[in-house]
Amino acid sequence: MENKIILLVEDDPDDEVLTLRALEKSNILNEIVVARDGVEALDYLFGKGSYSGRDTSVTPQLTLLDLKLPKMDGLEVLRRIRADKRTKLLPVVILTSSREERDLTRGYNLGANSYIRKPVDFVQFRKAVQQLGLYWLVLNVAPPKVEMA
Amino acid sequence: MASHRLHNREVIPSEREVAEEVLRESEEKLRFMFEAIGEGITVTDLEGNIVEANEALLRMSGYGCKEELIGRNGLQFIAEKDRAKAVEDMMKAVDGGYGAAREYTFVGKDGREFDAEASGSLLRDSTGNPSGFISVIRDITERKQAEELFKSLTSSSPIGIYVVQDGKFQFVNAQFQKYAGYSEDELLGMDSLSFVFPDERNRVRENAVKMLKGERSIPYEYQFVNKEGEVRWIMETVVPIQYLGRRAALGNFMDITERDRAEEALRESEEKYRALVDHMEEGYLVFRGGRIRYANRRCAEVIGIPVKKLIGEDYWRFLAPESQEQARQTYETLTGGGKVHPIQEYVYLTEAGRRIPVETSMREITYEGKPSYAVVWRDITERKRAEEALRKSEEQFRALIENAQDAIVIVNPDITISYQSPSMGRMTGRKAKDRIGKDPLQYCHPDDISEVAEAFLQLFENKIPTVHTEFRYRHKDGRWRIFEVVGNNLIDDPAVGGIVLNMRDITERKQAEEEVRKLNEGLEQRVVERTVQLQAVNKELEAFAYSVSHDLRAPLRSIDGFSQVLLEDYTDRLDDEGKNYLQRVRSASQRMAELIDDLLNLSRVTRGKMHYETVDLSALAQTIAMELRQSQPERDVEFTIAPGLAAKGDAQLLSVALENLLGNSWKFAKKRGRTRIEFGYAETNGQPAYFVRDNGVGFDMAYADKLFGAFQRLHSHNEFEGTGIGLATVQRIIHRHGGKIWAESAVGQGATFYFTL
Repeated sequence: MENKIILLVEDDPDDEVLTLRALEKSNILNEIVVARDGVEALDYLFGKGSYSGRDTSVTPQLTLLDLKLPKMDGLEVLRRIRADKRTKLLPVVILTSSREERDLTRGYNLGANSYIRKPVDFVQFRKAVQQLGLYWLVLNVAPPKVEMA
Repeated sequence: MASHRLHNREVIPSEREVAEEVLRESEEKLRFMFEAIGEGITVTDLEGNIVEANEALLRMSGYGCKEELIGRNGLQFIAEKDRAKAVEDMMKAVDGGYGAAREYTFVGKDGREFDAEASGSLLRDSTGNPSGFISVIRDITERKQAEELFKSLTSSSPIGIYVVQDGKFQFVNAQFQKYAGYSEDELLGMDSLSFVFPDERNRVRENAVKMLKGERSIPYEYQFVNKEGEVRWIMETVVPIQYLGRRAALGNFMDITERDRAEEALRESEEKYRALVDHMEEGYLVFRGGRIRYANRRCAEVIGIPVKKLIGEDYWRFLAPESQEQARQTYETLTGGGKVHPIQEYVYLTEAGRRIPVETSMREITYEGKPSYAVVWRDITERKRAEEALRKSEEQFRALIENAQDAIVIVNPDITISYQSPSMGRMTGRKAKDRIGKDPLQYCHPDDISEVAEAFLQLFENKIPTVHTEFRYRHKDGRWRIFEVVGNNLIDDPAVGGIVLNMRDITERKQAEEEVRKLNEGLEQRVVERTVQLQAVNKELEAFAYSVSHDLRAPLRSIDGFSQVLLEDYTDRLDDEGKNYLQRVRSASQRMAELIDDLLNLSRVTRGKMHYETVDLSALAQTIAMELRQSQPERDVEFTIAPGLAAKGDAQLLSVALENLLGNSWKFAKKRGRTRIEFGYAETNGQPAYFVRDNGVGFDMAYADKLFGAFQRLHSHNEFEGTGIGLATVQRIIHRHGGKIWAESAVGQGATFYFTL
């Protein structure tokens, strides 16, 4: 399980803490990379900026993507992920406060694999994260690796 | 006869001397008488040789002295044709001693013939033997001429003339023969009354006798039956005469049959005219000296007085007061030999006082032989009424036209104005008197003339019956006015005979239209601006909602999340009170999350686009009911959902509405043991509507107006959870569908929510 990295794209430090806690309490002990804005997320995925030189063949098993992000919003991040051959098949779950229909529509249109709304009730949130981890990290068969050019 | 006496006296013997003297004197007297007598006398011997002749005979025959005659035979002086008759007469005289007077034609000395009547007596000598003749010859030329005259008079007379003696015809003229059909020979000797119609004979005889006696002077009439049996009317007079020395009656008569027939024809003709006059629609009356002398049936009918009573009435009393003067003037002009208009209009008064307008014509005629005045009149009530109606109608139309706001102009086929209504003067400042006969396009704007002229041309050429156009017209004050004109071709209408233009000054309207157009343009601009603003506001609102959705929830998650962390990680350091407070923090943050969700729902209901489709409401309700049961499977709830209810609407919005309504019922009936929730469609207060009914706690209708307001709650949180936004959302959805929503309830009696779509 060690090589199964989770990329958490989240700008809110409270949410970051709570999400990490929820993962931890759900016994999901995978390596978690946190990107605090959209640009950082892309830098990580494509080995740029502060992540230049990173081995981009190592891709996250699951990306949890918030929509409302500084610099570049989550949908744009998603668009770019899907636009790139290397990350085209990357499992991306939108994890957001928004229940706006347009976010849902655009998210799925851009190729989100799932859309989870963060409940305010933390007990429920933890349940959701637990199920999410179980599904994507255990049950789901990951897409084949894409060879880097 | 004198001859006889002369001879007799000659032979009377007497005393010789005395006797000789007496004889000589006597002979002188006799000779004197013989010579002085007016008739010719001749004495002849028995052979007819003349012995003596008197002066009168000389005069008659034209001989100068007796010697020329004495010794000659008297027969020589009788025309050859009568000589045999004369000899015969002489023989008769010898036998009878006397020869009655006979007519002979004598021949005078110069060969001249003359008619004379001769009578003769035989002379005897002293022994009594016949010795000769004495003849008296009377010249009857004049009498003959008179007779000829009478004959020619009677024969040529158109009057039948006859002489009756002893009741028999003694003379009949040619005309009488013609009337009677008999010849003169047949008639002479016939009974004079034989031609009188048998029944009338006594009367005719009496009349004739009276006339003969001088007791009657008027001719009498009777029916005369001629030989052919034809009856003719005769008018006759008789006078007493001497005929051939005796009393006789001279009659003369005329055939008056033809005159009678003419009278009959006249009578018939008059009857015909009378019938005509009595049956004609016109009244006909004759008056003289102001009094009616004749009136036909129509007069009686209209005036209301029988014809018999009308006769003798004063004509003038039937004239209404206002007609009196005119009628009398007309009458006086006529009687004075002047001319009047042949037709006069008066008003007659009937006996009942009704007024009748009449048209009369009066003329002088002869009636009953006297100059009179005939009046023919006609009841013109109907015509007057029609005229009045026409006049009124005309007045109305004129008033309409002259008072209309629109102007009427009639244009002759030669493109001149024949009429313009007063409003045209108002509209143009140009009076009718200045415009009649002028060019209607004179003040038309030069840029518009060709178009208007083309329209006129099309009208005149009858290509189109009506044109509708606009043009600018220069008002007398110099301003341009815009006229709207509708032209109609009424050239063939004899009442118009031209093109009728209906004109309206639309300058103000045009200006108003222009203003409206400008306003509209401005308005459109404003709408665009507002729309932009609205769009911006909407965008802001969306951004706000988005922001709310993301950003307001995040802190709540933190509050709830970290409260939970405290409860989990620091549970040993918190007492029960602390734990309780943290639970309150958590439930408050969760309720606020609900509020935010509901608010976002409400705004979404208002903002989103409607997607109309047929929505199966029954199926929707079933789904919601199922979800509600699953949320609280322990509750005993009976759903009654009418099948097949469908409506046009936005499926998602209607779903939200039904979720709220059914959810409310579910919520407010939770304390009622067995819950009954019904969804159906029924008519309420005359209006068909969908309804959701429950047997829940209901509510007080006094607060019904607060039901649909956002954040309005009728129950406490302790009783029923909720944000107070549900029904506000439902109402917005129903309103967006153009429907209505209302509720009926009573506390403890359950509630029914009705809605239409």
